[in-house]
Amino acid sequence: MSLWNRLWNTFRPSSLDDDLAREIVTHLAEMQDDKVKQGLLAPEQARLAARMQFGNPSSFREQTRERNLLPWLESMGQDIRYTVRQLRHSPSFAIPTVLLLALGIGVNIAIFTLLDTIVLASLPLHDPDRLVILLDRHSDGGSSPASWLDQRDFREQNDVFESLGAFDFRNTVLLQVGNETLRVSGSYVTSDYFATLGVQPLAGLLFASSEAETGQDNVAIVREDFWRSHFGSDPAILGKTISIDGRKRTIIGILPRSFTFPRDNTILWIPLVPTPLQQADRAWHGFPLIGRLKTGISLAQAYADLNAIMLRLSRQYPKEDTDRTAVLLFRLRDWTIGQTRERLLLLQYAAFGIFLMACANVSSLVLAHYSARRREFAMRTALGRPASG
Amino acid sequence: MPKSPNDRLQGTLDLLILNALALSGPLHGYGIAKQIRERSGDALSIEDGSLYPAIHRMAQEKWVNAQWGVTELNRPARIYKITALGRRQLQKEEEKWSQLTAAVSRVLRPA
Repeated sequence: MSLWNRLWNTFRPSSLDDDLAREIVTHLAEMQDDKVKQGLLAPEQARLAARMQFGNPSSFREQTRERNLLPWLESMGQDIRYTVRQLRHSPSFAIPTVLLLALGIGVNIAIFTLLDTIVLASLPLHDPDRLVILLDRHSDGGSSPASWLDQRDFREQNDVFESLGAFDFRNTVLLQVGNETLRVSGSYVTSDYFATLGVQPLAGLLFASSEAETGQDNVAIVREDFWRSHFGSDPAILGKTISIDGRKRTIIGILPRSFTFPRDNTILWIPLVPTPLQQADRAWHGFPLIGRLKTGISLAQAYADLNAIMLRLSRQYPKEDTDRTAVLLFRLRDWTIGQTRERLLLLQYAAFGIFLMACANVSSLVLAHYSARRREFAMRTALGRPASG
Repeated sequence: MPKSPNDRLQGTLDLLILNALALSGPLHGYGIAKQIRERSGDALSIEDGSLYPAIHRMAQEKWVNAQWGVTELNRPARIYKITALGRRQLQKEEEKWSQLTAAVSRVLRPA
């Protein structure tokens, strides 16, 4: 009898009970009829006699129900007690087995947790599957960031992006907090950058478009963990001035720790204001772009639209955009995870391999243990005890 | 699963029920009780109700199968039928029974 049946009978006794009750009614009626037919008894006496012969219906109903689970629970309890006793008897078997299984399972869980957090969990951004990174593709297969002017043309001519942000290729800044000078990962980003990613500040503000102009750009945003470690979670940090690459900037916002773009370790964001040179020179390729595709636009559609623009640009500016006849798009998810994903998957396979080895070891332990116990089984049988009693 | 102490008794009830079904074809609960009573010449005093827990268990072991039908007097009842598995079980129970009775007889009346 399956466990499912037992549990079903235990927790849903009503239909079983109804069936049984109906059977019992029939049983009593038939018996009563028989007794009357035999001409021995009056109907009322026959009814009583039938009740007597039947016994107590509710007790049989109880029995029918209990019979389903009790023996099973009892035998399970007995099995568990027996198991614990056996394991205590032979620690040389029990301890390695438990350790092997614990190791195998533990390693797997650890790696899987990592994999789950990094690869499988969705990015902490609004609708991350619509986010793509946009680079120029060279005819030799390489790629590079866009120039500021190309960026402007993409922004004006594309039909596929809801919004398009840019950040500077450079990644490190010198930060002066009090007397301390730190080299930290900071990123110059446009005001569209945050809107494109769809992130909300923990406190304060993000960059306004007016702050993308020289003279208005003396502001900065820090990340939560940096705020906690270097400013002691000071709630009055907003409005404070720090010095970045020798320029004083006011902190206007705090972003949550989960925000890791463009890089995992980026803890500082500064408005991206292109220098006059960058604004004039189409050959200065220093700005990876991040775009949010309009709803329903596929990667292929985006490619078609953007490749056409890039091709046009390369014809229009053959000197600066030589060989840049197409674009390279990839989803943000792949950019941030990149090779980590494959390494982690490899690690997971390795962990699974370890688990298999643990299982193989345990099974040989069990075999060895069993051979050692054959004498015990023989003894038990000889003494008339079941092998597992 | 460990055998409970009244297993012998339970086994005997199983034997009686399976035997009744094997000899008379499909029967409802009261029919089984009547069969057993008549064949034993009223000598076995089993409460009729005790059939039900037993036959329910046997249905779950798939020794018998049960289907709703009606009695000769048109009352709703489950009709029980012995299965192939049940017949095998019956054979086993019969063998055990004859071994037991033979052994008890030898004890009571040593040759």
